[in-house]
Amino acid sequence: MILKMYKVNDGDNVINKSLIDPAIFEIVLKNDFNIVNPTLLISNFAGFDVRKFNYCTLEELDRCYFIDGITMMNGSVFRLECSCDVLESFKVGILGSTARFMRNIRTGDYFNAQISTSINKTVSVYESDKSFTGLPTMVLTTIGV
Amino acid sequence: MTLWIDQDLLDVLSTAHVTMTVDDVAIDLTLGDGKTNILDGEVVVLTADTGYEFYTGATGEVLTFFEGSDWDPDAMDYVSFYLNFTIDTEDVTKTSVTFDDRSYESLTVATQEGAVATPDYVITATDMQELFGSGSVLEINDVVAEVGSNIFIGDSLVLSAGVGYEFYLQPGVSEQTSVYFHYRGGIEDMYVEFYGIFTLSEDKKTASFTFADPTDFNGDPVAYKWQEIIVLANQTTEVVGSNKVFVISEDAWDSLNVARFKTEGDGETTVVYDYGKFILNLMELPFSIPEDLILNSENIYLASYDTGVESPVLSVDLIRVDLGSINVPAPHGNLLDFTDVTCVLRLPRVAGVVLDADYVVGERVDVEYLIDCYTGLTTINISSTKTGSNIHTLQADIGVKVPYSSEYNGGTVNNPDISIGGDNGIVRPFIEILQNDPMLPNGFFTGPVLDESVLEGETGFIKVEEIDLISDATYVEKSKIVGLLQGGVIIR
Repeated sequence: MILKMYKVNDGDNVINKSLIDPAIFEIVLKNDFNIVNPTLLISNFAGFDVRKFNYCTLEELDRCYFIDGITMMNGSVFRLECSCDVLESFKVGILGSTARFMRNIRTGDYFNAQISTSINKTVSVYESDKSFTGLPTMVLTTIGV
Repeated sequence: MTLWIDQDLLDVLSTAHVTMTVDDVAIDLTLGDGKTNILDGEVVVLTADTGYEFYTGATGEVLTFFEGSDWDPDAMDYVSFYLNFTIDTEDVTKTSVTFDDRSYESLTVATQEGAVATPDYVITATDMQELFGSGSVLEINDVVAEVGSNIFIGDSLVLSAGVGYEFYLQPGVSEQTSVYFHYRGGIEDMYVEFYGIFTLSEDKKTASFTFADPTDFNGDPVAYKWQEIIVLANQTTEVVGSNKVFVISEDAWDSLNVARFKTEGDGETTVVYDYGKFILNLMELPFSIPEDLILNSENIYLASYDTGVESPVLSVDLIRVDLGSINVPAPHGNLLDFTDVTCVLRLPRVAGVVLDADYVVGERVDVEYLIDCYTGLTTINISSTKTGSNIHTLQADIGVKVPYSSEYNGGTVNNPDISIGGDNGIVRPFIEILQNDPMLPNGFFTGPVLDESVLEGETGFIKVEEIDLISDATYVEKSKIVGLLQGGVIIR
């Protein structure tokens, strides 16, 4: 089975994580393998530093995993404690699902949303393009021919 | 034989101040629609320019002709032949000939300066002054007249009244209007006045007349010509009843305050009449009245009494003042433009008006004052592009009443609204938008908008309240997904 190991800087709660610096291994799974929280043993070799990786995928299982812990078994074997990243593993289904959710404001949003406001007010002034002009004028009204 | 028109022929025409047509088509060498040649049987007409005419020699010999030449074998020389033009017997500015089949090489044209036709009337400076008084404009055959303009019999005259004026029917005179040519003349030993009367349009704004020879009472022509044009026009106002509205200066007002008292006596007793009771109101408006509302000066009458004091007349008693438009932007284009917003319209001489933000933000607000000259009571109409109509109307008294009598308003000058609004120092309307500043309105984790849709396409931080999760994950994994979504996730 192909194990791909990555370095991931995104948070756990991110969908569409950026997987970088991949390394590929051929591994054999043991009989008591747990698909949600697997434990993997890999051999170290010259030029490979397992401590640089915190994420892996097993494509045959359609799952992505966080590497929660690394234990050195002896001079050349490491044990990786993993847990399934369900957001990344099942993101196609998640993003294709209908949900009711809270999100940020966009242009064209005119919902009556609750937004915290400051007690300070900003005053903007917009002037007319016309005004009273000239000097005061006296106007006389009479009854007359 | 065809004669091709070339530049030499055009030069001959130009030098002689004439134009040529061939079978009623003008000649033209510019690849236009005009003729470029003359064919056998076509009629060639030459027309002299204004002030020129064709003529013949002293013994009647023709001086305008086409010329060609043939070889004469007997004479052993070229012999010329001619095609002579015939001058129109009634109009010496025209001459014509029918082209034939011979071959001509040149054209000779003879013109001279002719007698200029004598106009039947010439517009004088006095006439123009007569027009100027009412701002009227006279057009002669669709050309605006000026001093020295000529009028001939049959010319079409149209007179347009100036702004604020209209012509009228002369009372008591049958068919007589206030616009006419007036001349004096004599029939045998009688001294008679004649009138060439203009016809008024229905709205009395234009008067028209086809210039004709004056005729006597029998319709026979008389020898006398027009003497002057008379243009009488009334100032038109929209003032109700027999009231008058004047723009009055302080000096004129001082004079009127003296003239309003009329003294009459029979030598033993003297009575002083105060015509001031026919003054309806005197007030000061805080701006210059638009020029187009001010007509010419007239004497101020109080009832039928002519005070002899002159002042410009206002054409209306309800002054409409456009105080312009205020455009208020909606910078965010979303609910932030309306969150905790108060809109206050500040107007000259009245207290501020609070308007609903819906009518203001992202809209244009127009302000118009309608000022009643009798009372100073002003109706202020505020409209918005939101509805395209008035959204608010208020009334105020913006005219400062000037006392002119101790009896005025029971002995006191009452400016109730001025004491409330008064001169607030505002001459230009403006809108204040007061808004409590939103806290982190665009914060990454703010998420104040509730939405419901497929999550595909969403970006940023969202917090899911409910989801119809479609996935082949295990039960435990689905529970974990829902929990994470409810806690908030970031979609990149």
